[in-house]
Amino acid sequence: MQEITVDKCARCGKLFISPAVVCSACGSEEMEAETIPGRGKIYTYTTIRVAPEAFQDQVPYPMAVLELPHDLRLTARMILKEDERMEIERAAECVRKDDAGYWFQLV
Amino acid sequence: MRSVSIIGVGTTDFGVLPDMGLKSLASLACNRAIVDSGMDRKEIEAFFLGNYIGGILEGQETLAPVTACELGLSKTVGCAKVEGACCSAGIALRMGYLLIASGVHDFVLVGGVERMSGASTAKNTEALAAGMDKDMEGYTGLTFPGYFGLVANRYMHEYGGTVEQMGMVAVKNRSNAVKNPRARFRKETTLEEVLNSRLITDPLKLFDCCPIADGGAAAVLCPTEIAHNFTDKPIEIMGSGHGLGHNTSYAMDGPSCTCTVYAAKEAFDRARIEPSDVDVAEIHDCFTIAEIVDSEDIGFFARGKGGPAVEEGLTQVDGRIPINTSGGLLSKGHPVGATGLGQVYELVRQLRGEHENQVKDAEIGLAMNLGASGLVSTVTILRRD
Repeated sequence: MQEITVDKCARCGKLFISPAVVCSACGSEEMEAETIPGRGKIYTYTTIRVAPEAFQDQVPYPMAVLELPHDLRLTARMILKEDERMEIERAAECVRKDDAGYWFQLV
Repeated sequence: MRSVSIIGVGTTDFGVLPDMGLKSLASLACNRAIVDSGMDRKEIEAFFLGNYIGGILEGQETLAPVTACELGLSKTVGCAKVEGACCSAGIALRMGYLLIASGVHDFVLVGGVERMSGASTAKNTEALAAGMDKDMEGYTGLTFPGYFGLVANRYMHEYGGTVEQMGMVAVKNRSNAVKNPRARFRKETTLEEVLNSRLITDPLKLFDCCPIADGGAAAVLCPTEIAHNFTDKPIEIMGSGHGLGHNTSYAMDGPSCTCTVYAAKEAFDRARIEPSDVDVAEIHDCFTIAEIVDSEDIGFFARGKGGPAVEEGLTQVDGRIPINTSGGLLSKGHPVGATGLGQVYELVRQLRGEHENQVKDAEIGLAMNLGASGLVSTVTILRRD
């Protein structure tokens, strides 16, 4: 499992998907890097079939909004096996991170 | 605060206009609004011009003063380009409204313009994606259509909405555009044709998505108390709202664009009316699901009832609340920086009693313009004076 990098406010403890430089809750500029488990469930999903120029060679590609621990959410790329379909509430796990962000697969 | 009115409107056709440059489209729309108002252009004190991707696609920035020179405005005019993605023109209108309402100026020209047909679909998709937060998700490959695909699947999950209801939005708006000479697509479609069109971003298909377009639109504003000096049919801005939403798709609060909820609340509070008082609306149907969600965010329908409302015909020209009698973005096309004032142009025609799909006795109209993936929204409520 790939962990997710988050920024934790050093003053009030609020967590943000990285990168964050200010805490929108208390105004602090002190952030501490942390990680949370890359496990969650699908909040919603789609499959992109018309892409920006830089992604054209990858279509079609599935994407989902994932609900993570600590009430955080993330939009990520999905890796699906041939017979797999995305569904809301379905559990998913992060397997890697690259220039396109985090990649999840169904569990 | 002073009351503000629209005394002139102008537009170009929306569509593929290869012979027309960005500045020319802006100049034509603005000139038509000035001529429609009957006022002396040298008396315009400020000019705000909405534009989103002219820098990326056309390599043209500083577009407002460039256009002001072609229009022959006074050398004392204050002008600025306004950018808020697809909401740019709605924000330009809001800026002009605020300056007159506050008493700073008496005459303001507001416009919006975009030129998109010179670029490929991939290049347009990339340019439009510049409205997403580059640090947080611009790099993931998500697109604006993709965002509305996420919204559509969540809408169906939460409320039991259907792809047929979305398809009916396209059928309705295409049908409305048949009579609108300003629209890009003027041919009717069928639910079968919509549902059989190719997938763009599941569950949205080609006919669920608005086409790109070239186009410009503009309006001239002044204090309501002197509006009758210029026209027999001034249109009062009863209320204006401008709301902030979320910078990432994952921050969405259910299938809703909360920026529209806030913008609508401000506009209705200022106008002191209810959604049920509106006679005709032009709302941001960049995708069929967007029109459904917008209609709930504004308060025309309860949560989850926007889809069934389309099915029941409540949003047709002769329905309880006619929506997008112009054909909407789905048929007119979406010249992103111009769209907000294109909507206002259509509503002014309705409230003057001059529209091709005239709603009987229309007195109050509402325009709602959305920018990026639920990031910014304006709502403008107009009344026949």
